[in-house]
Amino acid sequence: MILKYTYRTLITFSTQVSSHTFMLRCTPYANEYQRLIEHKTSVIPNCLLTRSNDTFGSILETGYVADMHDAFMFESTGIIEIGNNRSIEKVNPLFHYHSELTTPDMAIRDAARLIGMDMSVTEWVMRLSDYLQGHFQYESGATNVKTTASEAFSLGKGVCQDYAHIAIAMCREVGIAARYVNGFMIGEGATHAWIEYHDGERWLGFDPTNNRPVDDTYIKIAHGRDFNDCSINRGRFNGIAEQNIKVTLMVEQLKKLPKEQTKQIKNQ
Amino acid sequence: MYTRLLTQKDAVNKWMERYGVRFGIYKNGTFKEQIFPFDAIPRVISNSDWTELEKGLKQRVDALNAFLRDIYTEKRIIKDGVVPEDFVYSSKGYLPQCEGITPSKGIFSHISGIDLVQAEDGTWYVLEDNLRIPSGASYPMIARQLTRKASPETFDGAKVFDNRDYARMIREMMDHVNVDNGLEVILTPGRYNSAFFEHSYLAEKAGVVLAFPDDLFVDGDKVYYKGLFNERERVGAIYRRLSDEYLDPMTFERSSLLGVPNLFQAYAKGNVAIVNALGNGVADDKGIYYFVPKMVEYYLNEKPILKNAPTYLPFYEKDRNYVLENLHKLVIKDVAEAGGYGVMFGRDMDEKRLEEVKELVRTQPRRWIAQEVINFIDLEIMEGDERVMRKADLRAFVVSGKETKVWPSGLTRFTRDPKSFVVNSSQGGGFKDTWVMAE
Ligand SMILES: Nc1ncnc2c1ncn2[C@@H]1O[C@H](COP(=O)(O)OP(=O)(O)OP(=O)(O)O)[C@@H](O)[C@H]1O
Ligand SMILES: [Mg+2]
Repeated sequence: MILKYTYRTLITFSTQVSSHTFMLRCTPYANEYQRLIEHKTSVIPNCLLTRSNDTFGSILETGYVADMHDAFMFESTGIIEIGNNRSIEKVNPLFHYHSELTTPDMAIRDAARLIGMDMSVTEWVMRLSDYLQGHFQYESGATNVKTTASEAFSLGKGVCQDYAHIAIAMCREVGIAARYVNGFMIGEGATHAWIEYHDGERWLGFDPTNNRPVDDTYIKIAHGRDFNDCSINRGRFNGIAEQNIKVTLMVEQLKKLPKEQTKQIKNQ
Repeated sequence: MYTRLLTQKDAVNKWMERYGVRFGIYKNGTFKEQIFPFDAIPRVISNSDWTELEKGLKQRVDALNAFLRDIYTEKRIIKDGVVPEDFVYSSKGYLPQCEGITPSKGIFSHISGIDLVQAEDGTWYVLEDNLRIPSGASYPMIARQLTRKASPETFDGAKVFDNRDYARMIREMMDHVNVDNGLEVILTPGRYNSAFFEHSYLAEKAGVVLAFPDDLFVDGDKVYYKGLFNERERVGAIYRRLSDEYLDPMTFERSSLLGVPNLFQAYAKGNVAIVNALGNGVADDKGIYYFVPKMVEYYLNEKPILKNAPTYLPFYEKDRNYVLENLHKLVIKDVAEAGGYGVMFGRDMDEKRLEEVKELVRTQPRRWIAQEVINFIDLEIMEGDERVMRKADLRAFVVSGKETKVWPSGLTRFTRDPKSFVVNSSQGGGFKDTWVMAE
């Protein structure tokens, strides 16, 4: 599928700030099933953006705004072709080990054991997801970015990040390599989180929040051990200011790829 | 040899006070500064003992550096089955962000603080490798400076290795790893750090800039020092006295107010040397310690000169059974702790405690190591006007730049509690100068 996306974050500060350093992870991941046709990241105030890959291959853009400013905007826009959402990338053993936000407690361990073992990996992940649908409730505001899998699980409610963390914790607990994915999804107005698990041959995406396998309507931005490895934006500045953050995301399908459209985006 | 020095001990302690030789500790959540008590009787290490120690220390640190290079690239030592994968991936000190990064000149541990004890029979045992930010070198430096001042005649006859060149060793090492001939700085988290005295003292002696986190910033993947008038000066080497997790809030602990944002990116691109490198915690983890003699054989193809204390890893079933049966006579250590916290002697535990700890060993085997108790030697210290015997260890400092060099001195720490084996300064111990004899 060919998708056109525009993601924008606008932060307004209540007072002027300066010496603002930031790190963005907002460019789609490049791999065998995600082909970037067009992409552009822009920031305001304008500054030098340097690009690199983090240790998991996600694309990082970093910058520094020395001067006073009272707003910061970054935008990631482009056209991407998505394939079947599976990857034959080798398993980094690290994804077998628990990480800070996914360390399970007794309750998660017990829940993972209850699912049983006599089935394929993919079946197991589906059952896990079914289980979550019955025992975990979507509720925004109940948790925050620091909430661990165990905390969310005992609370019984949370958002996509929490679904993903709990699912990862349970997978790793029974020996399935799993990782956290942050990205865009058609029809969602903000970033979404899901998981990838390794079935012995390939990495496959699964969305525990929506209880369905990930398909070509999902754009992967970053993956890592847990949310901490995937933040879309981290910043640090001088000045004491309240921040007002406004996020917009548009993902739409393009039936085909008209030449004009490509050009237009290039010139934006 | 040092009797005259003893008559000067009050003068020396007064000077220390004036210099602000203090040691800060956190107790019950509040920061307290206390004097790090100095004992005027030096520890004396004979030249022949030292020659052997020096060889062993160089060898050990070279192997540890080889291990770090390997772990963050090929991981041959795991593939060859010498170190189990678990000890790397579940170590708190392992930083996946460092994968594939080779620091400037390939050196990870530039300054290593190796903790040793000497047993009654004269054998030296390594108790721990400190490869992150080992502190304490300034104490014997300043002690020597002051004792020289108070009693110059003491050193006239005694053939003691001069220890004043530590700062020069640090400086040469920094020059060696410096990227693009930039500024060299010691990065201190600030004056409320327990070792702030040391940071400022070393900066002064080594002739490098003492920088606070706000003095540095990163732009275009390069690190700059902000001058008084906001002019920028490129930084080539940072001797940071700030632990990995607080060094860069963009890559590590996001709440850290002490770090330099995006410093990690500059480092990953090879635009700055960081002393010591990031990710060293994987090699000085108490669990990994067990494997260090094996590293010497694996990487250097040599017989290890220095011994580890006999150590058991409950991770291995055989060791676990031994530990469960013999806990009452062993030392058990929590691999995640430092500063003497989490070090427990089985002989001090009652039945109930022994059972509790055994249960922890059974349920979380990877979290513990156990050792035979080394009955290490007592040294004489002055308590008032009386000479008493107390347990003491030695932290030797090894500096790896162009070559690996051992500083012919070291920090001798002793316990003031006659019943205790734990000498850590955070547990109220004191220190001595360490005299290495030149002949
Ligand atoms: N096997 C042993 N036999 C006797 N005493 C020991 C043994 N292991 C440790 N000790 C005592 O306990 C102290 C602390 O041990 P160790 O250095 O392993 O722990 P630590 O908490 O990491 O300290 P550090 O602050 O040096 O990192 C040692 O300096 C020594 O005095
Ligand atoms: Mg120690």
